[in-house]
Amino acid sequence: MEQALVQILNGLSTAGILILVALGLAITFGLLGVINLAHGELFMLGAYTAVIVTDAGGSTWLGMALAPLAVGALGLVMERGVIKRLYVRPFDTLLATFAIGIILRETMTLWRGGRFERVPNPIQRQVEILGARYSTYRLFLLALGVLVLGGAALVLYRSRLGRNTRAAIENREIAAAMGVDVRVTDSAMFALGAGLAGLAGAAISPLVSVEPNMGLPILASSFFVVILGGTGSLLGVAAGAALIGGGQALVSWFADPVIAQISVFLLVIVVIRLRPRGLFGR
Amino acid sequence: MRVRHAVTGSTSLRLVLGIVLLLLAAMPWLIDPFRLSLLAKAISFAMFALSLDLLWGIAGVFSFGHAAFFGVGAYALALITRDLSFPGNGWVGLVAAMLLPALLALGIGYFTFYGQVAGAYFAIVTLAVSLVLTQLATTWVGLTGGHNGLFPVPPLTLGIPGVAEFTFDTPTRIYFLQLTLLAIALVVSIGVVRSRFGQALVAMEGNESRARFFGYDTSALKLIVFTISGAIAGLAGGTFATIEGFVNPAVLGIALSTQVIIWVILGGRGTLVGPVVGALLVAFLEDYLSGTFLRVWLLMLGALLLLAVLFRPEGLLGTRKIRRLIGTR
Amino acid sequence: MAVATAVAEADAILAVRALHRHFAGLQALDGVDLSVRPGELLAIIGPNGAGKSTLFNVVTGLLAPSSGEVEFDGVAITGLPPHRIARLGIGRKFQVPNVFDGLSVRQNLVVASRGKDGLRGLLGRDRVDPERIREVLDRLGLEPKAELPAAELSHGERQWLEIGAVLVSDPKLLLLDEPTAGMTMRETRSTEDLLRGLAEGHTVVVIEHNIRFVREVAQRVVVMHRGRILADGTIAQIERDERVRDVYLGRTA
Repeated sequence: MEQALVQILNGLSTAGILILVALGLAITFGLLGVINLAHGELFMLGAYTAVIVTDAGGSTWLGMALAPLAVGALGLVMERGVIKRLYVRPFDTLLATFAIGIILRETMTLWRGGRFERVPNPIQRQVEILGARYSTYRLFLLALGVLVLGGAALVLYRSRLGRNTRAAIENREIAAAMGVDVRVTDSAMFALGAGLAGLAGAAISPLVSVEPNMGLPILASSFFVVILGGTGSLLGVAAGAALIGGGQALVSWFADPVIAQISVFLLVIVVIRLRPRGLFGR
Repeated sequence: MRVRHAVTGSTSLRLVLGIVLLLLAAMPWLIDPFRLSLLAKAISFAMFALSLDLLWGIAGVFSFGHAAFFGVGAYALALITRDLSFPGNGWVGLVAAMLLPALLALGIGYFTFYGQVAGAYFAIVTLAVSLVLTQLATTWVGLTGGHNGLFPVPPLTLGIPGVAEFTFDTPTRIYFLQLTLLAIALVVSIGVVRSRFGQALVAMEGNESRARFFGYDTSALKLIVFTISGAIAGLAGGTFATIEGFVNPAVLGIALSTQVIIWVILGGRGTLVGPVVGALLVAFLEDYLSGTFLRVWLLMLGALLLLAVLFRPEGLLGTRKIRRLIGTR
Repeated sequence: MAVATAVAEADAILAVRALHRHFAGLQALDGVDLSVRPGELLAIIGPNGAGKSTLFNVVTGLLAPSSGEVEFDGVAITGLPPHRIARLGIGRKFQVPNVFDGLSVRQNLVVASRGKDGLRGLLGRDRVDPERIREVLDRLGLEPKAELPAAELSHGERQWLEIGAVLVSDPKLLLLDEPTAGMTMRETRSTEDLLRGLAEGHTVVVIEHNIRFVREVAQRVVVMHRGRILADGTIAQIERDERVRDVYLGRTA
């Protein structure tokens, strides 16, 4: 019984983590249509922000607060300096962000020496739920994921920026004609997506080893969540994260975690084959 | 569509190819055995770059995790020649090094080329495959030796099994075998590109929708070229394994996948010959660079690539036309 | 809402029924019903964003409709992939000429013609019909330039080559997306002749912005606006239609 509960909580918290991780990409790729192959590196930089802050004596919470700002700023620079020039050349965006990813990875390797670093877990306790003991921090991440998703929905559907962005996505020319500054919405949304990636990196850093290449599996997972859930849909992110997180937890009940990852991966591929638009895609 | 292209048989490219092959053939008399085996290894990477250029430069299909095929080929050959010693295992190893990656490509292609998903999806799937296989190779210690890999991988024995066998165990022998295989791979690739099938690929790369409106089944075209590319990459991996004498999960991983993309771009995407030369030079050089220098080197390559994309929209060697990007999405 | 020229659906070579296509809340096609008679030369006009290209995209299989059906020559083709629809006999010319610059004019047509032969035409025996290629070159007036690289053609000639590339597989239905875009007056006149010639033996549907051109070639004109058919008739009828004038002069939003 406890085992079952632990697995359920695993599934839920993994889903929460996946939401955190994929949300940034859902905005840059799912909404803006920008293929950002450096998304994983933005996550990685968020994690390193936490490392640097905690090394300097600050708390992990402080790291988590600063990461989205720092990485969001970088995202803004990326968008203004590079992405903006490549909107009409989507394939070149792929190459350019690929190059940026390399630059970020190698820079961090040179700076920090490529070793594995740690960030202290700010909630070391475990909580007891119906007889099972579970990491409180993982539950915190679940809550954070849901919270951030809700926040993103609010921004997208209730704020002026969100409305302008959605109009610009549907029809750039008409939106511009109606007075929406498309350049502002583009930059703001990309920076937001980047900031979210940074936040995710900092938030998840206490659970993993921080090293320069950590971003690549994140990139893959994020893409799968967004594609499975359907581009352009925040609900899709939640659904995709839930399915993948839940699926992994389910399979790792009776099999090796690596097998779990592989089987879920295969499942996603099959689903996309059958439903190319994903679950809630437009 | 590119004019300076293997398809049109540009004279300057043929000239370069001729010179390069002549130089390579002369190498055993020009350099010492140690450097010769380094060059032989670089030829594996050149074959690998060739396989990616066929897929990406010619057919326009970008693969982010191409080392998956290189690595599967490497492990396949290593396992067969190391663990199964029967006459002819060299041949079986080579065949397996091509067949298994080809099957993998078929599987991946079937699930990604059919259906209306964006090209980015395919790129990400190949990345995921590379990651998953690296994970698998690291954890399945029984089969792959895990993190430490498989060692030693014996030199290749070919010839007529049981009757007249020939072992490639000196740098010179290995080198000539590599050169022969590279020549064969080049002949096959150039042959593919100059064929009707190759023309269809180039048509598809130029404008996929347009090719489909003419009646071309672009999913099938991609599947076929992907399979061929996978096989060549696997062969490259297999040969690498026997030269290096050792395989570990790095042959499957993202670092190698990233490097081969850079080799192709630097050499000249879509020219087939360019990536071969580019890979030879850069891979040969990289073997000399260790540790920090390698990282700085990669960092510089990344920066170069970014600048190139931003300021030379026609591509690094002027091999792409901007025109096709207008009005096609 | 299709109006005047009610074409009996049984005769139609192309029948589009209740076609809808939306993108995230935007209705690109909002209930389109259209029937095209064999041998007709139909022009589709309308402001940008009216759904003309989307209609072509759905008919040719590039896009799946959100709802509705497409029937070609009695066969339901909704949801079929583009290459199958092309092989069934619908040819589409791309808006922007995308010819193979590195190949000669003739080779361009050869490569285009192989599409319908499938893999067998690529890997097995070459099924290209040189007679057919010569015919098309003749019709386009490009025979004298057949061996030149396509890069050396003028813009108008490139457009014709694009049309030729579609013609070469002898489709029953030709969908031309702005054939006179970027052409000089003289080239446009030649294109008018070309199209009139094509109409004998093919059904042609043209998307165009050049009203003069439309007046010269089209027997029937359909006006699209905001994903729907606003008016359908001869050019004379269309020009007299109040609603059409409102749309073009922007009185209705």
